[in-house]
Amino acid sequence: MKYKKINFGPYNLHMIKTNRFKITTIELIFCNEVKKEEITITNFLASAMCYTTKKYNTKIEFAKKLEELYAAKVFPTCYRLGNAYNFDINMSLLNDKYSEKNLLEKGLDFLKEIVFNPNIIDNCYDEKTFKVIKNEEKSQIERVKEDPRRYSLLKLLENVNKDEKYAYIADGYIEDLEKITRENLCDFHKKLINESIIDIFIVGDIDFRKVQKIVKEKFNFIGNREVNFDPFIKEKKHNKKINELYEKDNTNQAKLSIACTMENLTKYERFSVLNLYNLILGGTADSKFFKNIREKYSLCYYVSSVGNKLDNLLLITSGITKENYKKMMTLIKKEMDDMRKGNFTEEELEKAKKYYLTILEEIDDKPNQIIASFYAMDKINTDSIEERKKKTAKVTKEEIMALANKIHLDTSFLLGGDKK
Amino acid sequence: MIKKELKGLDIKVYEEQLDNGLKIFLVPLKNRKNYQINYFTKYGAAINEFISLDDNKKVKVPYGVAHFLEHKMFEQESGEDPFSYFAKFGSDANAYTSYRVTAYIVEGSSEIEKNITYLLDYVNSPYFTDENVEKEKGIIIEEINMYKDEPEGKLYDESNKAVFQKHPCRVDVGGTPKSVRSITKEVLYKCYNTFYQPSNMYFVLVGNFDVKSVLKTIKNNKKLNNRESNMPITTIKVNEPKEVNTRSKELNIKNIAIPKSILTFKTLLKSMSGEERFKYKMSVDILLYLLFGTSSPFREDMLNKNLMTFLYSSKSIIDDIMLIELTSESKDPKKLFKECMKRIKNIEITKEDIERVKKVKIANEVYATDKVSMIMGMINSYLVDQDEVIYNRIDLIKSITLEDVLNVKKDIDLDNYSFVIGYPKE
Repeated sequence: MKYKKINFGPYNLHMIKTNRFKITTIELIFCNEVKKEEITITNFLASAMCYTTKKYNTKIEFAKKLEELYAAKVFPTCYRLGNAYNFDINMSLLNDKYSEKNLLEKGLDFLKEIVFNPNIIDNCYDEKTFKVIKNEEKSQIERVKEDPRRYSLLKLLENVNKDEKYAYIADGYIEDLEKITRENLCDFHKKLINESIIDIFIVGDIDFRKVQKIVKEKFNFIGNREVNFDPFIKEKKHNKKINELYEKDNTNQAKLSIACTMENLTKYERFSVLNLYNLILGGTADSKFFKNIREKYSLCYYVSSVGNKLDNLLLITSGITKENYKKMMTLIKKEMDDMRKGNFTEEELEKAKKYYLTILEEIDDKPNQIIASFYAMDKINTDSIEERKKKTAKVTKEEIMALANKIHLDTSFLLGGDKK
Repeated sequence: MIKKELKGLDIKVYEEQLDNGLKIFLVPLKNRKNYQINYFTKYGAAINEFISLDDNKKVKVPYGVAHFLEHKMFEQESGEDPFSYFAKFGSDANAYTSYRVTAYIVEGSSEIEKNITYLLDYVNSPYFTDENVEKEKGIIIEEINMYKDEPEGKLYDESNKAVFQKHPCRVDVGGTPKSVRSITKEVLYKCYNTFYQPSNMYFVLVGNFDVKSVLKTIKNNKKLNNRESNMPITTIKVNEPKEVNTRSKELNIKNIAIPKSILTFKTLLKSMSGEERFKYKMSVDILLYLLFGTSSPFREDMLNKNLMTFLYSSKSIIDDIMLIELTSESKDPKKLFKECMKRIKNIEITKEDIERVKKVKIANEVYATDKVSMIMGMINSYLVDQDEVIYNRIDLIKSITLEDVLNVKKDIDLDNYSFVIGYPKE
């Protein structure tokens, strides 16, 4: 695998050459500082841009163009990463061997059309597209409350700190949706093109010189941009006494979500120790949570934890019978305490290392993960995969214990379980 | 060992059947680091009445036994937890139960021989006690409760009840809390001894490995070799009528924002050869794509009229029953229903349409063979439904004609539908 990054002024091109795949993956990333009032319009624009363009101005035309490109896939995704809000357009194309000559160039032509020629006439977004996307975004926003696990997690984050960025809802807000017009959507498109931090990744069996030439020719972003915000979210000092919240809901099962703050982590702890800590605590079917809470006490079907490096939070989720809440909290606290006291074996640590090394090893099998790891190296200065492997192998039990002492229970949210 | 090739897709498959009947499919990929093993039995929630091999008597077992067995296979006499063993090499274990199969999966990127041995060992040595069976009930009931809280799950449950009159598919794969509570270790052993015989099982491996040494490891597995096998299995087939149970049903679902519905057409499949069946299924997919796919004028029209915000079409097959399902989200589900019916009745398909969609389907075959998990999914879906892998898939797709697709359309009985709507609760 060969990697090359080229700065074209307003944007970076990252090329990764590998002959392991039958497809070429392209990802164009627009990155901006997250602003609550811009989430909904970013989502809206992303969907609209990947629905029609000026040239392919109906859904059928757009879909038929993709068919013509040998069933090329185009997916927009919008997501928050710490203090950033990203809008990605992901495109996959078959290699020439399975399609026709120069398919990559034709695909990039279409991507250019999507990015630079949205369905706008006289500074006004196409009416049909606008209406359809508005309906879709509205149902997307309303759907949030349908999934009780997700709803429980959102309510938890709102209660950790309602003003912090992790409390923002990535599906958007109805009141912001109502403010979007066919005109201001055009302005937002201009802003997106002209102000975002832009990166283009291309992974596949590619010729660097050829791809570089094509991309430079087609993607004419203008103006220079600088990242002027810190990607990491400010850490929170944990509540002295855990803030325990409950909301009644007529579900069969109560959905429990817990937030722990992570305080004063060093870069090494954040990127090398935390993964292992989490795997031992609740990251796998061999974790303390799984073995001790699910298997020993039969208290739940799922219980897991995930460490969020950018948000400085560790989140725990489970589904339980409501009456078992106190017992559950006691067990979770005990497992976390055991991590602090070093009540875990060298074998558990070794297994977590093996597990994490396998994850790192398998990144090479997945184009999207290859892109994500190069992106993280570029934007938040993480180590290379090889460097991460080396550091992971060296983590000690004492280092895990030290980290465990920086992680504190802060807030818990229990939703429902009231169906009789 | 027979070497075969998925033509046009650059994928080789090695097939072998052991004396005990176990069927093995090995798909080595040089350019991948990981591998996935799927060891499965053709026994799922759709079978709940059979002749027990223990005493040759007919037995009816509680709903949810296949799924319960799946949970309990991870229990070992030594007390060692398989998850814990696999984790030593950074590998992952998992399992799932459907109406048709129960599958045990291991994924990893090293120590493949040890992992295979361990997997074969524990799936071939059940250890059920009154105590460990009792303990599992709490976990499984929480699992059932979790699915019950998902609106889609609730709707799907109701739809199955509307479609089937007698078939075990009327009940969720996991069973009900009541049926789960009634399961005992004796019942588990009965099902295990009948359906986990090597002759009723498949071993599929995809990814980075050496064919010869893997095959040797499987053949040398003592626990597998000690199993009794090749005993005839008699399942009591439910005579599921061709007609749906209920044509329409409306219910209220908590917390949903927009009405959701499932429209299902129930069709009986004729008996066909493997290649014919493949072509038939692919013709169904082509028809559905033309009717409701991303490039269909119908979809755009419905979106423009704000008659739906979500529409997904799919087919599923169980025994000789084929279901064509349209899952949707709409403010006016009844109007959308009428439009869908009209669409199916009135669609006009040209030769050009067929050629265009065939190109899409062939390209999708390439996409589907670029990921270990997707190759696994492709191979398994054919083994489950047809007991064989179809190797000349691309040629078969190329050979599909307008007539094939029109014939499929003719087979759909538009009057034999069930339509289940979930409305938001007041």
